[in-house]
Amino acid sequence: MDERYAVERYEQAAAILPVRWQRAAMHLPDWQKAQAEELRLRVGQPMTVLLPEGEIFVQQEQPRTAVAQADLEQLCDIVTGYSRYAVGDTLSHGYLTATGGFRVGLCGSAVMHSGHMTNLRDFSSATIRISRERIGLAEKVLPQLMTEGTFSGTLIYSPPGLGKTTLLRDMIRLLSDGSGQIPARRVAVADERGEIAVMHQGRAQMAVGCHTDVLDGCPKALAIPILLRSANPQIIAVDEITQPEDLQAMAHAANCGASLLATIHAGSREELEQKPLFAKLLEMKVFSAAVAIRCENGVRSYEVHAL
Amino acid sequence: MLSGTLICRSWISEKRRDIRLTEAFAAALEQMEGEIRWKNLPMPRILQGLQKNARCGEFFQFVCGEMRQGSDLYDAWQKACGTVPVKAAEDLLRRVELCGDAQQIMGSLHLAADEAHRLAAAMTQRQRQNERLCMALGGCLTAMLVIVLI
Repeated sequence: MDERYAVERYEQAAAILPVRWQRAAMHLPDWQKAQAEELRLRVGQPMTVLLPEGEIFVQQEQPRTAVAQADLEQLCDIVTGYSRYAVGDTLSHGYLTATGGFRVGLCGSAVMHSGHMTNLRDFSSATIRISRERIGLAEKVLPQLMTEGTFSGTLIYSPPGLGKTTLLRDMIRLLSDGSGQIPARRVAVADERGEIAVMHQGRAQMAVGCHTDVLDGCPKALAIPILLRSANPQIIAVDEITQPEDLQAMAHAANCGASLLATIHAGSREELEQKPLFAKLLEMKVFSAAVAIRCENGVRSYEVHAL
Repeated sequence: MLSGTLICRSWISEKRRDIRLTEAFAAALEQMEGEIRWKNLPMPRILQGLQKNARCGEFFQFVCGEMRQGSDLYDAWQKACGTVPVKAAEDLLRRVELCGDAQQIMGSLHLAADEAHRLAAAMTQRQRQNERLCMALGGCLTAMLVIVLI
């Protein structure tokens, strides 16, 4: 990945911080900015940055300034454009999507109504995940998932933070644009959290291919039937299967002839096989292949296997 | 007499501008409520769209400009209220609550839009009365002038 691009993405993520923390974040050397994966703010603690080797304090000099609760409130206001009403759905799930496609995870006190979390108040910490696109990441993986020119329904799995969405995005791009032996396909993306295509006023900010249709901000179980009717896709791509309703919609899509491409959290094949959701997926025969992402000594590897 | 007529005309034009401005604010507040109700648009996009309004666009341009320079929405809105030439309109804009959940914001915008419509209607009625008075005075002065000349 180009270091300049990696540094730029870090600086874009840092730009959504409150001003006093932006300055601190920008003082990091370029080589650390390029490797940074997350910025973390915890009330009462100094701000930290997550590098491959672990979290370090952003401020090297002592005494280090602690994050205040007002900083997190201001971060929320900046990210939502002072419009928390417009992001009630995602805020009730503990996250926001900032301009540029950065996920901002929030912790605090849950506001509960009838057993459902409807809001978060008194924020205690925030995590800004620095997403980066990696053009070409899927070029070695995708040919292994093609059978006589047909794409097999594929599940990408790994523990959190290993780049499932990054791989998913590049696979969408390759499938959409086509490459060499891989013919171009009509791909529809149910981008529930706005992190795959990063839509801004109708235009994708990330490279997702020229034959891709994106439905942004809609829950997968609703989005998949809509995409089937509106976009006539050959492939439907979704991120993070977590709900049983998602599976029903995906099975319906598979029955309609669309191939599925999705991600799921699992630390290993054994963990994946123990998930009740996975058992359902196998039963429904929605996926025939899987890609496991592993990370050893900071280097990622992609293993393709049949399901 | 001529200067009196010119002053009167200028005063009438200014009052008519104030009425149109108040009506424009009423429509803008209704539009804000609608954008939230039907499209759940975030505030910056709503304000950006309102910058193009022919009569009250300057107000929203001021708000957006202040926010671009780092002010929060509340401070930017309050500062912008200080630029509104109609005092009653300024007061009702200052009372608009732009934080809270969607219902609260829409409710506040709805109330403010209603109040702006009523204010514009009252201003229109007063203006008609004043214009009739001006015309009557003008007529009397003209008649007196004719009598003097005769």
